[in-house]
Amino acid sequence: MKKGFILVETIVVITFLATSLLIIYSSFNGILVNEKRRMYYDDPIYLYRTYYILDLLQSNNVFNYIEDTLADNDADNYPLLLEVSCNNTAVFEPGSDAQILCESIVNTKYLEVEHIYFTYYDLGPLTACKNSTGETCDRNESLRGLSTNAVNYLNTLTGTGDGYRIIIEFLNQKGLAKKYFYASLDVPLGGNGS
Amino acid sequence: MKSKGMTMVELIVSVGLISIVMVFVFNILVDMRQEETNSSFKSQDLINRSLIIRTIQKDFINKKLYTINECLLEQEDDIVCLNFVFRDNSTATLKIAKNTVEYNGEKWTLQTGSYDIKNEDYKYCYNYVEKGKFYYVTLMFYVNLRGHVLESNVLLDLELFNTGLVSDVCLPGTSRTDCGNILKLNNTTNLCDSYRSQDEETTNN
Repeated sequence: MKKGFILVETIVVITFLATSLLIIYSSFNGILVNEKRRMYYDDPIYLYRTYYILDLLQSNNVFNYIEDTLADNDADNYPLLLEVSCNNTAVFEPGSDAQILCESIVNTKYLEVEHIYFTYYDLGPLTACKNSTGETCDRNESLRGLSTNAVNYLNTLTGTGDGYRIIIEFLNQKGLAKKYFYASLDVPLGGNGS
Repeated sequence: MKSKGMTMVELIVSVGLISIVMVFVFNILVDMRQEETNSSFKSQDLINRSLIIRTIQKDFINKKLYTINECLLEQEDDIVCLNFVFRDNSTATLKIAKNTVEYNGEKWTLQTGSYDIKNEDYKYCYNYVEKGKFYYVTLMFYVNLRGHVLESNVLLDLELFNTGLVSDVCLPGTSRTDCGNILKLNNTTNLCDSYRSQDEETTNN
């Protein structure tokens, strides 16, 4: 007569326990992820940095640039996300005071700006990766250049309507520790960010 | 021969599976404990921090900053006292003490221990760069949480940023000569950078 557990019984018990724990883990993991998002997404300091950068860009030619470029999307092209830099001659006149200021606050470690993106306010097509004709696009092509952290941030943004969004990725680096922060503001058609 | 209990192989497999599960459980418990401790302390402070930044930045944006003067520290615990003058000639005073931040009559108390600035020589740092006809200025107020349970996890530092046309402001360090009698802020040369360097060295060590 056998006594104690046999291997199969042990495995069944362990599997049951593991499944239960995985369910608990997935429940609490959501809470942990939300907490981290609260820390790194739309922090007031980074929101105001974004505001001032947007203000600088809007006082130059960025609005016409994004309006022209993003409006020209077609099936072969996916300009649903546009990266803007201080070196962009369509936005800044080369050598102008505004460009120098932009470079000194954006292109240095000072404001910790890593990337500046503009996109449509309605992020549905971008996150679903659809072009203007509704065709599903290649996700890698549409979100090309975006880090996983940035894609995760994009997925938290909601809302539909006209206009654009500015999304800025900040890199806070202390020693070897890197932390990415994200902030975004809406850019109404022809208006200021809010 | 009758088999009794588990064999060695069964035992090893069982212990291995249990160990894997325990590693997951342990990680969850550690994370949960940290987050729970942090959230109970920091929630109110984070809300206050947002309100402070929003209130001051709103004035910077709507009223347009004209100049910044240092004012006298009245209380023993006061660390910083700054007087902002706006272009409509209105003024607002920012006072930071060990446990409180006061701006224009509104007062916020920090719940998370003390609001000690790390080093008295760096009560705040002030960066000013004039580029052509533009300026940018940043006031940073660092919060020292060393030795506190929240040391590495909380962002309670205050940052006030402003940029615009040099012709619109009268800030210390500008090349304008018509600013009148403006009290010079102490330590105005790239303190943020030197402070950050110091902080990075500390982190690396």
